[in-house]
Amino acid sequence: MSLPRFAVVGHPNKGKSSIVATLAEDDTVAISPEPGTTIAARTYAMRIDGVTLYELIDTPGFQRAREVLAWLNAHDRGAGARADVVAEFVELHRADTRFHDECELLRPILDGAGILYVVDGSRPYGGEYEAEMEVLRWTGRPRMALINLIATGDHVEEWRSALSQFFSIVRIFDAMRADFARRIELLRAFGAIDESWATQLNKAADALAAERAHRKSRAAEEIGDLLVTVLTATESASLPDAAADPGIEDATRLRLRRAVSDREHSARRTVAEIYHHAGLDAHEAAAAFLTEDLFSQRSFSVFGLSTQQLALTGAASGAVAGGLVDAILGGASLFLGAGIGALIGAAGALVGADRLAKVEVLGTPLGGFELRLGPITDPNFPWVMLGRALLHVHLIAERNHARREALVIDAEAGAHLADAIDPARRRSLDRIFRTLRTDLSIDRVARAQLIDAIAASIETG
Amino acid sequence: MSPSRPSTTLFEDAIDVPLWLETDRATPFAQRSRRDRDIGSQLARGNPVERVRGWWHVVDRRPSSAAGVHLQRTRMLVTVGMAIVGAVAGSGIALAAFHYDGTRPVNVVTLLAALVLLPLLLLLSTLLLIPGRVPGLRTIQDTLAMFSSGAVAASVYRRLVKVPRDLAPLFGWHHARSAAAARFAKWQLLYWSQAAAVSFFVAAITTGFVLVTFTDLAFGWSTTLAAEPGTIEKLVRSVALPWHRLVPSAVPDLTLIERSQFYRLDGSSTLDSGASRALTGWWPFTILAIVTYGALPRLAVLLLAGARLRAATTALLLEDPRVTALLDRMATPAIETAAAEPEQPFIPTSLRNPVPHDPLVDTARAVIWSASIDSSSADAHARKTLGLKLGKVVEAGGGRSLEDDHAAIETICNGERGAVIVFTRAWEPPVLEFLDFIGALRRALGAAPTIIVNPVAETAAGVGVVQRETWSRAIARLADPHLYLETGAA
Repeated sequence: MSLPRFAVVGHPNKGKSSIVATLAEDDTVAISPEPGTTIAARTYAMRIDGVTLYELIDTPGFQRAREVLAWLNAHDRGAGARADVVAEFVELHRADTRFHDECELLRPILDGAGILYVVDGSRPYGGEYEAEMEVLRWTGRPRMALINLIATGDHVEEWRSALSQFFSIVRIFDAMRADFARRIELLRAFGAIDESWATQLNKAADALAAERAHRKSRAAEEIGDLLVTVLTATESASLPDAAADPGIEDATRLRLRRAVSDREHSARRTVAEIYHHAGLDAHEAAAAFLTEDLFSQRSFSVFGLSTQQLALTGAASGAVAGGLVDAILGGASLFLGAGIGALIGAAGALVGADRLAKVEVLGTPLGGFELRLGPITDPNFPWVMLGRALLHVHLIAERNHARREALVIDAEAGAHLADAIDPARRRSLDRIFRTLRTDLSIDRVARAQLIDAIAASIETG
Repeated sequence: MSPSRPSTTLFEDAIDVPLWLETDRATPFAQRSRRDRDIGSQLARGNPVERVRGWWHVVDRRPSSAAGVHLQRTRMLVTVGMAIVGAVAGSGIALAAFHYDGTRPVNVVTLLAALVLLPLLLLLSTLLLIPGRVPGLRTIQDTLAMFSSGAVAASVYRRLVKVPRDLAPLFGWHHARSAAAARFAKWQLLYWSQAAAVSFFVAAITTGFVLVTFTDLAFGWSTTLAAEPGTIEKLVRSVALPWHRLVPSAVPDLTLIERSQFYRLDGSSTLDSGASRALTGWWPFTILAIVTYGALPRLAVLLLAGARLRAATTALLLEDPRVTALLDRMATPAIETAAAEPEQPFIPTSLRNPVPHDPLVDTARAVIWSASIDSSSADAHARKTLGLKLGKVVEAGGGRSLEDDHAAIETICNGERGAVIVFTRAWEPPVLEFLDFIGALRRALGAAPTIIVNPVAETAAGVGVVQRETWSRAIARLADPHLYLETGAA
């Protein structure tokens, strides 16, 4: 069985590189409205543990298709020798800069690659494409046409009619907006180009789908660890005496904030890398919301729980604790436990909303004093962190690798993102956050619960 | 691959691996995944500790922190120090408890209180720490942990090594940042305290035995409490229960108990040398009591603490999120889809904004390239966007042959004079074939006539900025002083 190889060919600027970037999940692929961005054929191999399952080959676009066709026609020796004539053309013109792009795109096809011919279905059909399609037909290789949709126009049917004359398989694939399911669907459809490739392509598609699910768990773990780290973060500084020193306290607070922000940035980078968006940092600068200072009032109002939800969640968690007392007393408490617990929980959540980090001055066993700042006890803080992390992972996970514009977030629509988390999950998370605040650690079971809840929130996010 | 036995201890690895993985965050994720999967696939499956340590043994980890070795050495030093402190204390207390100057016998009651009863109470307090934090007992547990000899050892440890910030919580039960770190701190504290305790009893027993062997000791019992010899005998039998069958001679009988009771006010003169010989019968009982109720329980707790400390060290390594992620990377097939190297970014040529400076006459000739505009509406479009009337109009490009293109050029060059407008599709890129046509047109027209390339928009919205710039750059590349781009935009 030969290795499935696909040469992505077509007119310049019709989205060949976008399709490759999307399928290969490679946001370093050069994509530009300028024709000639791709100057050489470039291979994107899909490998599992180093074993290649298929290859995509991005190629330069046709520049002089009619001239190539004229040469082929002039050297035609009958239908049976047409592929040979194409090979002769490539051999004869390999050093000819005039036909550099044509040679680059035809070479992998002559080496056995299947053809993925890309057109833009949002723009009108043109007669110049017929020369390209005719040249491809001369190669005799199995081929599929992909109608990409770059702009908003709709000329799909016009294109479909024309393409059907040259290709037995014509599919629509919006490279810029295709989600993961569509990408996998297209990959499986490539099997129709050559049936002997179908098994290998299905195996690749299955592996990619499994990896996609795994990415979510990895992202949830990264966010879970981020939360555990920042919710237990403390900073300390030596004090000359037991009296508070505002200068030292401010400097320590700044260090604590910086440590938390650094950790958040590190988690974001890892999440971006998990989803193969390593190069996204530069674009992220424009996403004002995610670059909003973590500790700003605006950040709290957008990402955290609303005051009402904070109180409700605190009340619900308190009620659960109080409910345990009721259960132990067999209802003899007339459910006062739950009621009082709810009141305490809600009050705690609201009263605590104004303080950010605990400040303590401690005597040290070997003399002297130490200022200890942290952990950050504001009950809304974990929700702000979680809201920001969920928004980031959502944008990253859904982002198509062909897109090159900056991340844009609808500012006002995102207010109090944490409110959208399922109430039961929110209560569970609230209990874990409380444990972290008081014990500065959680056990393995609680960590697993935290990660599960985050993974579920990513799914719904 | 089965790597040779790691030269580092589990503890060193539990410190160094997470520290190194933290710095390894700077390595791109794809690179880490590929590297760890490569190593992981060569290691035997199964025991995760062995896999992590095997990975650590082969991964290229320069530069690497030596924190683990340093901490391990200090840890051993503190353990030895605790053993020495315990031994010195044990010997000292034994010397005092077994003290006999010939005036009064060694009081078995005092001796057992110092070397059995008190240590038993301390053992009980130690046992309270073992089950973890019990609701309702947390304050007691925290207080006991704070005053434990292990806590003192931890404090000395922190002082000795100047532990890095990240590692400080490892040696303080109260400051642990993860459940694994809390468990490790607890068992390390217990291990140190039990090492001191076992050493204490070994030294105490050795000291007692040496005194019994090399000096002449007499034992008796004395108490202010109203204790009858019969009651004491029952008590002694109960205490000796664990060894009464094994060493029956180490269970004082009623006669010995009756004969060995003394009162300080009686003075020493009442004890003759025969009585003194009889009174030595207590020593096997006291030594075995110290062994059974002092040393053996402490040894058991030490062994337990040692085993649990190893388990906690394992957990410290395996429960670290960075190590969990490493194991995940080692176990997960490495899927690569991207190109081996990132593509070089495309740098567009500099933009020229051509400004027509040739005088344009009212009428122009036109070439409609690739059916970019309907020939019937070309004139109206030229009037609107360029202010020119159209004379001769020909079609080229698109589905036409190259011969058709040449014929179109010939037609346009014959007869009329003036500028030539080439209508083209704004949304299509300027491919080389089009630029070839412009070149051929120029050759046919001669150097002077103006050629205006007019990209036609698909919709009434007009030609977009990106399209205009793309066409402008392409035209600029031809370096023709009488070739202009005109889109009709302001």
